[in-house]
This record gives sequence, structure tokens and C-alpha cells, in this order.
Amino acid sequence: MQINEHNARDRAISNIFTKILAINTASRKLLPISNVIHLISFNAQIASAHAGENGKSLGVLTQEINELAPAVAEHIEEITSKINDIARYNANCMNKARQQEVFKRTETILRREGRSIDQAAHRSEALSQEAQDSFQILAKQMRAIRPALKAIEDQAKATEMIGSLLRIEVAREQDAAMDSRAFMAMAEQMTSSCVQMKEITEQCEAVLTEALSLANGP
Amino acid sequence: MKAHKLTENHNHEWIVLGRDPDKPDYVIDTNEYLIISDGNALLMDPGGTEIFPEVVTAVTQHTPIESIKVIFGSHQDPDILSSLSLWLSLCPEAKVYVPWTWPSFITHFGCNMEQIISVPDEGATIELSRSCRLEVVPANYLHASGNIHLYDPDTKVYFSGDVGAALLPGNAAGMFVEDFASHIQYMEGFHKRWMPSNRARDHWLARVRRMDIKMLCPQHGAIFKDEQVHQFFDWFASLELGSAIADYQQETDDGDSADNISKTA
Repeated sequence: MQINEHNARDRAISNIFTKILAINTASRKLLPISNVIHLISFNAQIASAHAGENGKSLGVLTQEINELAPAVAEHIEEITSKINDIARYNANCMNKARQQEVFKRTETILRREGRSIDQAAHRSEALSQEAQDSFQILAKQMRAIRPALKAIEDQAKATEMIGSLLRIEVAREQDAAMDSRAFMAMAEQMTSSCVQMKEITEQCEAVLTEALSLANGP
Repeated sequence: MKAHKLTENHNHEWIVLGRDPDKPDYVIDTNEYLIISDGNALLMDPGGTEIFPEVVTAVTQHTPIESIKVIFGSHQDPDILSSLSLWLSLCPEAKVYVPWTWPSFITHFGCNMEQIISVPDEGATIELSRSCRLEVVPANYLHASGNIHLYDPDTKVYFSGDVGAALLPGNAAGMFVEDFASHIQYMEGFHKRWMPSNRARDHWLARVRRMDIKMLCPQHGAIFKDEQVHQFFDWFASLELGSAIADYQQETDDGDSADNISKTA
């Protein structure tokens, strides 16, 4: 492999890595949003309990949301852990790319001095082969992030849907002895948080697709 | 890797990263500090190659990788900067501040000389953003012959490199010193051996005692807060540094040991 080819691979790996780190930064923003949803649904649950029999159906809906929220935190941790694996592999790739460069230079010097180049050449060849495989391994590691991202997106959709049901239910129970305006505000806040979550997961998915196309490209 | 927000002042925050439970035992535990201000980030002593994956993952949970504009290296040791070339491959625009004694040594880690800014012996200032101006404080011979610290006059947080460092037992999880007296056992040996010069220590103490410091943040071990900062200064002032020379002298004063040394030589 020529040095400029090697540099291009090094740059491609850095570009992929930068994109993966952007997913890490973005996915972390999901945590406070998920906490907000959790808090709203908790408040809504208390309010529905206060409303007694009239708030019973609302209580069931908010309970559903409450159960969904902690799962988001687990999925975010899963994404972070997978990104950590990618970071480890990337650091390894970059170090090996440097080693390969050093062995190439060693080979040149040994050749110039008319000495045996076998060991340096073998090591350089092995590193080159590993480098060829590195994009496939990276792509595989990146694809492993997808299920957790998808799960978060699904959860945001489910929460949004329950939020809509909550609004319908509140509208139906308007005459009942409970603060329907406060409920409506909570449901709206919940919906807007879900929209934010979906936007972030969509952004992450788009960046992931770009990173995968870079890994499959060279 | 644990992350802890040390202080937050408007849009200016300090975060410490460390105590990675998955870190292999053969690698010394280090603290990495991050300052984020107006979307720009400064990373202090980013650490060795071995812990780079964990540090980069933890950093990017707080700020995008492209926001890192400054990397600060207190000195040239591998646990401080051997990951530098990896960082610079991701942050090609970042500037690296190191003591003037080290650029031609640090480039052995495989990084670009153009990104390095040499800090003179008298120190410097770093403007991370319009609202964040940091003071680079000289701490030469503590322990490296060229050594710098970083002070944030806004938050009163002081990054002290190896000064205040402690080699904590493996199960120590806390980021802060809980009891100063019981913490001494973890830092005494380190300071006596790694810090070579009483004169350099006194010079540094005379300077930092005049500064308003609320938090003293070493690169290894736990962080000192409020009163503990002054307890540390007093304790450090009383220490006899350069223990290896003292031990050696004692041995050479003894005839048998001197013979053994010359035979070995």
C-alpha cells in the first residue's frame, strides 16, 4: 500500500469516528428529555389519583408512559457502550496505521542497506491485511447501534401516541372534577418532548447512515 | 468512566472525568478535566493511548468533538499526552499548549509541530471564549523541569497537574477528598519521590497562596475543596522533597553500601 493510500484510509477512519462521536453527543441529549417526560407523567399520575374515579383512565395512560421512560435511559447507555467499543477499535486502527507506516520506513531502510527485510515486510503485510478488514469490522460495530436507536424512536412514538390519547381523554372528561387545563398542558409538553426525541434519533440515524456509507465506500 | 460537573458559571463549566472501573490495573488512574465555554472546549492532560477510547467517549457525552479548541498538557509524560496524535487526528484545528521545554519531545508521540504552542517559563493566558480567560501558571520542577498549571479566575478552579496527586487504592470511587488527614497516606510517598525541589515548591506556594482558589484539581487522585486547599498548601510546605536523593546519600555515606554501588557500576 502506498503512503498516500494509507493516509486516505487514516482520514476515512477519522471521518467515520467523528460521525460516531457526534451520535454520542446527540444521544446524550435524549436523557434530560426522557427525564422530563418521566416527571410530567409522574405529575399527571398524581393529578389523576386526586381526581378519583374520574381520573382513573388517565391514570392508566400515565402509568404506561412512566413504564416506558426508564427504558430510554437503558438504550442510551447501550449506545454509549457500543460507541466506546467503536472508540477502542478506532484507536487500535489508528495505532496500527502508524505502526504500518513505521514498518514501511524500516523496510525501506533495510532494503537500502542490503539487509534482510523479511520480518519488517511480514509485519507490514499483516498490518495491511488488518487494515483492509477494518472497515468491515467498523461497519459491523456501527450497525450494532441501530437497534437501540430504533428502540428509542419507537418509545418516543409510543409515548406520543399515549399523549394524544391522554388529550382525547382529558377533553372527554372536561366536566369532571379535575383540572383539565393542567392535564392538557402536561400532555402537550409530553408531545413536544417526544417530537424532540424523534428528531434527535432521526438525526443520529442519518449520521449513522453516512458513517456506514463511508465505511463501505473505500 | 465517571464524569462529574465541578462548577458551572453562566455558560462556562468544568467537568472531571476519571475513576474508570474498567481501566486495567497496570495503567495509573488519571483525571481528565474539560472546560466548556460558549461552545468551545479545552481538554487538560488528555491521558495515555490506553485510555483514549474511554476518554473520547466520555468527552463527547458533554461536547461535540469539533468543539475542542485547546488541549493543555501540563508536561510531557506518557500518562499525560501519549494519546495526543489520536486526539489531533480528530481535532485537527486544536492548539496544544505545553511548556516550551517539551515540543520537540512531544512530537515523538507522532503529532504535528504546527499545532503546538510553547508556553514560556513565566506562564501565559488562554482565551477559550470571550467569557473565559484562563491563566497558565508556571510550576517548573513540579515535577517536570518544564511544568504548567491552569487557573480559572472566574470559577476559582485550579488544575494542579501532579501537585496534590494521590495514588488511591483500587476501590476508591470518590472524586473529592473526604478527610484530609487520612488522605495524606495516599500522597506522601508520591510527593516525596516525584517532586524534586524544595525551592521550586516554595516558589510555587508563594505564588498560589496569593490566589483565590476554591478547588485544587490534581491529575491523579481526589480533588481538594475550600479549606482543604490551604490544608494541602501547609502540608506540602512541610514536606522534604527529593526522597530518592536523600536515600542515595544515606547509602553512600555508609561505606559498605558505597562499595556495593561502585561494584554494581
